[in-house]
Amino acid sequence: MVTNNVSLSEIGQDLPKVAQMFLVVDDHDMVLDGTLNRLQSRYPNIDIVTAQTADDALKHLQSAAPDLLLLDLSIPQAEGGEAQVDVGLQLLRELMTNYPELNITVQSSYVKALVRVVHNIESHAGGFTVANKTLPAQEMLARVDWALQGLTHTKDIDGMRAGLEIKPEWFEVLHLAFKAGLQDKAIAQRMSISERTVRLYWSKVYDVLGIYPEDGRRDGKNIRIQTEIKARELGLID
Amino acid sequence: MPQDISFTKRVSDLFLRVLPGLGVTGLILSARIFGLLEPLELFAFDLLLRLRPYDPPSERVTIVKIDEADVEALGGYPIPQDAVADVIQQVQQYEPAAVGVNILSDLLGEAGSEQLIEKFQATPTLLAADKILLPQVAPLNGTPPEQVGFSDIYVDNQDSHLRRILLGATDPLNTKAFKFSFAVRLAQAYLEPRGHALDNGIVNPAAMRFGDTELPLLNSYSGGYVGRIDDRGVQALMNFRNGPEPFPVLKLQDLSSARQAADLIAGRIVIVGVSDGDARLPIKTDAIANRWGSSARGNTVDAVDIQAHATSQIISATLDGRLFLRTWSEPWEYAWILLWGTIGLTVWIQLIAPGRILMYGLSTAILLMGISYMAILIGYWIPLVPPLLLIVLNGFQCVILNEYQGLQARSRERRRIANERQRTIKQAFNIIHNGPLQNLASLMRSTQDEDIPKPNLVAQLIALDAEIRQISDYLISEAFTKESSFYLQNDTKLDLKLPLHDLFYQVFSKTLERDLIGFRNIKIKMRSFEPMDEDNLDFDRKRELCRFLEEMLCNIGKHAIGASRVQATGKINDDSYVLRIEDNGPGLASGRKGEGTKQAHSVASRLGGAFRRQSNSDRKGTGCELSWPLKSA
Repeated sequence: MVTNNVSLSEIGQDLPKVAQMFLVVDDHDMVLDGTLNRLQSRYPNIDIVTAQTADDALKHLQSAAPDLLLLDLSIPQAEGGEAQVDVGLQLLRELMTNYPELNITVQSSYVKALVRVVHNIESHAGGFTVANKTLPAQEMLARVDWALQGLTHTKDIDGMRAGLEIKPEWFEVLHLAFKAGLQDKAIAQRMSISERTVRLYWSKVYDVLGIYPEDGRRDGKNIRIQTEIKARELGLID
Repeated sequence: MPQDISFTKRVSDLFLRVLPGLGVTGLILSARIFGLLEPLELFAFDLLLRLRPYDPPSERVTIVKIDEADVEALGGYPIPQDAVADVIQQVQQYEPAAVGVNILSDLLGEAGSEQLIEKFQATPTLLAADKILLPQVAPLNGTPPEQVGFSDIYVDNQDSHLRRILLGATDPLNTKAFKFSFAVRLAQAYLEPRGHALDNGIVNPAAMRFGDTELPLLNSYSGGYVGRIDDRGVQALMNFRNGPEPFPVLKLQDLSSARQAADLIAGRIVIVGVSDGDARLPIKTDAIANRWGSSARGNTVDAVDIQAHATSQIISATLDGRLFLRTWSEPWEYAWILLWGTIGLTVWIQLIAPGRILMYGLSTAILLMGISYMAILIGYWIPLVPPLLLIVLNGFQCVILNEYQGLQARSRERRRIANERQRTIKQAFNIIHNGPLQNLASLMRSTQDEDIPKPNLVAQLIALDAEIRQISDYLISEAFTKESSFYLQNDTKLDLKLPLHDLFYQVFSKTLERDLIGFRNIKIKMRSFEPMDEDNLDFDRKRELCRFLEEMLCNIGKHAIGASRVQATGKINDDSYVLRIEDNGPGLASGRKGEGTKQAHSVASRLGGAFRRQSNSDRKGTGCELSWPLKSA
């Protein structure tokens, strides 16, 4: 089982000791209650703000940036409105465009609908994880953890990719690292991007290749080497 | 969903449409070559001729008819020759330009032959008729040979109608002797004093010529004829004078009335003949409108009328420029037929609605008939029936094909809906199972284990109720076809309300999931589509662009066998969006290029953009690129 001190050498950021603020968006009181309970027991020091509509969520975001957004896709636009997946997706699009650094966990029964925002997910710089509502509490909390660490986890989104679909930029990173043997700094120079972006690309590559902290920890492997092995296996580099 | 047909589908549909069209064209062409259309073509020819405006009675040729009663009065058969001489004498007193006696010697008796011969010998413009085709009928003994022309006629053996005239022929019993027809002799007698001498043709030495007017020759393949007519001798198509009264006709008793006869004879050609159904077979023609009007068929005329028409035709051609009927050479005729077949195939075969097909078919047919009629008016007999049949048959097969394709599309649609229902049911079950059922189970457990305060229980039940309601909303929005729905070829449904770049991602994913031979070795699937301002793109444009991406990827799937990498990118470049699709397969093989390219170009032109396709010569693979301006950028 995953515990709270999972971290990855190059991406991981130790969990801050200071009080954090989470924004939880869900229109079901019951679900909201359950989620709050779990989060509170896992993160005793967090400050949790809740919102039940998309408009509400936006208002909160404008006033203070949370460390994590836990979002249900099926929400109403405004008070008394009808809960719709499209509203949640549209909110996601807006948030990811305006708050590229925001860490997000989507908790929903309709995670499949996320294939429609794949571009935003892949370009998103903050953490992004997905938790199906039927996921056991412990795993759901692990996803929240990963999002806080800035990781991307989209394996649960059925049909998001046909096998191994990647962006040309990620492919270039892979090539420069494993064929030209370059370090992130050199890769950044070669591609005229920031090192930060290179690290973002790496996190996306891990997600595509299905390399997540749990595996790395269990096997005690170096994540980069693991990535190279997997990439060669799949024919991404030859 | 007619607008939802993909490029390859459209290409194959078009092929499916063109193929039967080509079959129909081949059918019509071979039917013509084998002569199956000849009766129809001759029918149409006659029809067009008799639909022409009426000609007034001729002012150059007058007919004197000796009917049964006259023969009786002259002494019955055989007609005494002095009686004929007497008729000639009566005609001559009104000073005709020439007189032709179209009475063969087999009808004449012996009595008074010296009198008649004397008349011939004394008058060079008095012409006699003989018959040179077997069985021959010799001219009267002692007639000067240059005053004799043969009166043989040819009728078409298909339907015994007369459409041709024989201008000259070799005597079958004396192959060295070339003889002129009675009509040519009469025309010569009329035209030579007016300065138009009879000679061989200049353009075609085998043809005849009066002055500058060459009489066009007929051969056995002219017009609708397919080589089955007897084309011996010098022949031409008969250009009848149309109308119920093409020539003034005098009876024998009219000759004694000077007032009536003088005007109709002085200075004219007078042809004297016998009109007696018992003695001479009437000749069939449908090419002249008679007193019953242009619609009447089954007309007959006397042999003497035929001679008058032939003579008048030659004289009018020489003096008035009233043309002989001409035809195109065979290659032109077939080119003409193919042209109309092609118009049917390419222009209006793309229509769907039977009403429009009918409308276009009718207007094409009317245009064709109009052209054929105009052509006849200026003296050209051009193919009408074969192209007309092509139009009709193409129209029929067009309607039938549409019906067939419509049926196919409907059954595809039914299958798709059935699949979708099944998916929806499965999906609904999953959602219910994963969501409310779980919550219900946990609620039941907790009510058994502990005492839950009533308000709390009510709140949970309300939440459960809301959750269940939400499922139906979700299913309605997700699972059923909407106006903005778009289906990929593997029936994946997309919603065109989504941003275009997000749609591209889905198109890419779903298309590469297909089991196409070119996708089997692909290891690296790279794609990246930047968002764009898409205010100027409506659903149709977005649908077309998604189709385009799908089609280009499918091309790779079908042709880039062995490719290991495919890349699709959408980037904003200045003020335009550039969508590029590349692979590292075997490159552009011949035959691959045309596919979808036309449609791609038309998509590009509708967007005001451009489409390029290139084969990378330095490295492997192909690439194509569609770019269009982002208007509101």
